[in-house]
Amino acid sequence: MNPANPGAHSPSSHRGDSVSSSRETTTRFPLDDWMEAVETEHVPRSDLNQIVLDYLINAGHKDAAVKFAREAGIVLTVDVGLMDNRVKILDAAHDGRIADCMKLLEETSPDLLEYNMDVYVVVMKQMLLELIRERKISEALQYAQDVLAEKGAEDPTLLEDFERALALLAFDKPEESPYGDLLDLSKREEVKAQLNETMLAADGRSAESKLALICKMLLWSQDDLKKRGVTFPRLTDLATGLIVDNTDRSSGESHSVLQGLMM
Amino acid sequence: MEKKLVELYPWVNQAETPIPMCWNPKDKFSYITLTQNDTKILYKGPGKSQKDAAAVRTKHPIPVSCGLFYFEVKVISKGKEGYIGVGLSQPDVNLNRLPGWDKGSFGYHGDDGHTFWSSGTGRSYGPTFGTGDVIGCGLDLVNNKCFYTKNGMDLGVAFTDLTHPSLYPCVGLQSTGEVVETNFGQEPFMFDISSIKKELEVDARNVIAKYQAKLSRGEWEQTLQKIVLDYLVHNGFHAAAESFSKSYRNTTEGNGGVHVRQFIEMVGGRDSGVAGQPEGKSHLRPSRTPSPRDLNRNGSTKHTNGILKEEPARPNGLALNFDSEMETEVVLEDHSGDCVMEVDMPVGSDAGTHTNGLAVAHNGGDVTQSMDFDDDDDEENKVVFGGNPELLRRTLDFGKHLNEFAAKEAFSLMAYSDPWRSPLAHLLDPLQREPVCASLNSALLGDERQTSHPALKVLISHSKRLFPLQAKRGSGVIAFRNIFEVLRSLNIPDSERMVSSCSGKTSDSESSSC
Repeated sequence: MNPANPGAHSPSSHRGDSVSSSRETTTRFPLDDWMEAVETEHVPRSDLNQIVLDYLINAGHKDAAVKFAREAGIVLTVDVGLMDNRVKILDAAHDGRIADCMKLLEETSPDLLEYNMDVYVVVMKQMLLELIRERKISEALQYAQDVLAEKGAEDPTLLEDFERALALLAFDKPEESPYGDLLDLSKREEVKAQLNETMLAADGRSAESKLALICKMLLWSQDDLKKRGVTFPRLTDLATGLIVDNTDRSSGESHSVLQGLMM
Repeated sequence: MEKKLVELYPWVNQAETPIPMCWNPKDKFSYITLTQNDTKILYKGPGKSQKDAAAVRTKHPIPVSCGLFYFEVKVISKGKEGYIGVGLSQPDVNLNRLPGWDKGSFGYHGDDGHTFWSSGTGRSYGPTFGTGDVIGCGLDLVNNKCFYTKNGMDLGVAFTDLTHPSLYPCVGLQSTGEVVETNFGQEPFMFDISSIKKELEVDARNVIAKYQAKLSRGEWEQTLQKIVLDYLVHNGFHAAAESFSKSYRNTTEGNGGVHVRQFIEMVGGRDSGVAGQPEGKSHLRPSRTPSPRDLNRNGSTKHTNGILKEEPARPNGLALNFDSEMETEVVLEDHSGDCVMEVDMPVGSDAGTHTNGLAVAHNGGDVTQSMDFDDDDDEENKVVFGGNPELLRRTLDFGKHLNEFAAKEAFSLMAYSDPWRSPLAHLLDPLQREPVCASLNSALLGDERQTSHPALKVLISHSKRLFPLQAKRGSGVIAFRNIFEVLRSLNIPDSERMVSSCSGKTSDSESSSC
């Protein structure tokens, strides 16, 4: 039911809001204590090994996975032979043999690219770039024409991407041109990663390795806590595991922002 | 009882954040009486007007690590008017009121079926309720929403944006004869919460899955590679490390950008721009190491300065281990460019130009870059000390710095014209370098990176440390997705994972292989 006089009986109605609770979160976590805890925290070696093995298998590093299992004394209960097709396709993408890559895909999972248009576009783009990289100019032009005739109409971004790629042909040394980033080999890694995810997902397997999940969760957790006003030592570099005292840093940042505004 | 709770709320640490299981006799208005272990609420006030409203909160707030918190209130008697409110309340909200009337409180009222959202004005929401009805109240801590059920039927979302970190279950009564009983999970619920839980699990996964790291796709993949390579190197899984590094070698090398070598150095933590290394603290101060390929293989190994300075106060085990290996290496005169180091010797070691093929070994015995697996130059091996007085002097000088006992063996090598065929040849075995690599690596990493553990271990330990903070102040997502859950899923045997993933029935967190 409604109270006759809403709010009249609520002298304390403002007490319970977030002001009081944010006060209690100023608990400090000194970096040294935190590091000591991180240092002494026990993580079973077997867990770490499993994470690494999972990554190697997930990312399609068959040879490394087999060797790692041997060195770490893990009995592989997974038939790594099942990886072979995926590894072949990923290797082809890795080496820039996109035509091979597409052929293998066609053989092993015929409709995969048709059902994953976004990945298909990425692969086609890479195909064109690899032709340009090899200076197969007429082939590149022909390929671009064929693809655009077929798919370009459906997808305006494809047209745009192809135009950028073809602009590379205007340069003697495309790698050093303003569009050189297109030929960066990290693009192959991106194609590879996307293909891998698509193939894993198509097989009903986890597209993401445990390692990727752990890293994502870590970054998300830190952002979430920060958003909620909790101060704690932050891990700022995944690759080295560098942890910094966030309290000092954030105040420093806001300070410099202020200075920037004042100037 | 405990077992039921663990089933309902597997990620709640009761010692830190107890689950509300009863009403709080110290946090109720005086018109309320509690019985049955503080789960039954009886109204004992005058019951004449709103001024006689009385509410009670639970002993503890709802921990976010519940993910989904749910309780049910059974109306034993609606009393005279059935002014019964079921809901949630922040601490310190006036208890002389029904839940929902004031800021920081939320309630569903039996007499009119309205919900009250921090306001004296209700909104129509669901049916009225009275004697015999069971009203459930659920707090979804993933999406910060509240929903109600009546007699096992979901009534839908009632409130959103419930982000306050301490919300308490709350019941308010106002007329004579009202009696309700509460089930906080002690008994089976009338409503099946498992379907809601499944939905929230999907939501929680999506929260993480959609989270975008501030890295490009390529950088993200590279980061993961670095973590893995770091782990393999750190723990001496050499064959795996070699194979793994080969699989992205050409990408990184041909790139004009990151050279594999630099890459490995980055893994070693040296190129990562790590700041804050206390001055004078490090005993071994690594700096840029030239790639072995930059050095002339056939001698004229120029020693760059200051890679490793010998100082008196090194950690003992390492110092000994390292020194004696150093001796061996000098005998070998590996392209010790690999292990470029100037040992504090009276001899100007950068003058160390050695005649062709004087003394060579090979095999990437590089201490930190233990990753150089080239097999191409075995031919150059095995030429002995030839008459180079400079080298001999350096070797001897260096030897003087060594602990006598530890150096003895290494020194003995010099007695043989062909150290590789001597009884002490094992010292020259590249395998001997591995323990050195490991201890040096640890020392270098430890110096540069705060800790001597591989990054992977740090990531996990750090995540584990974050968990209790999140359990107190974070999001309910952690009830469905957290580091412990991921680690636990590792222990599901691969075979099961395979079977389940092949049948396509399990959730993707369980399947991982191939």
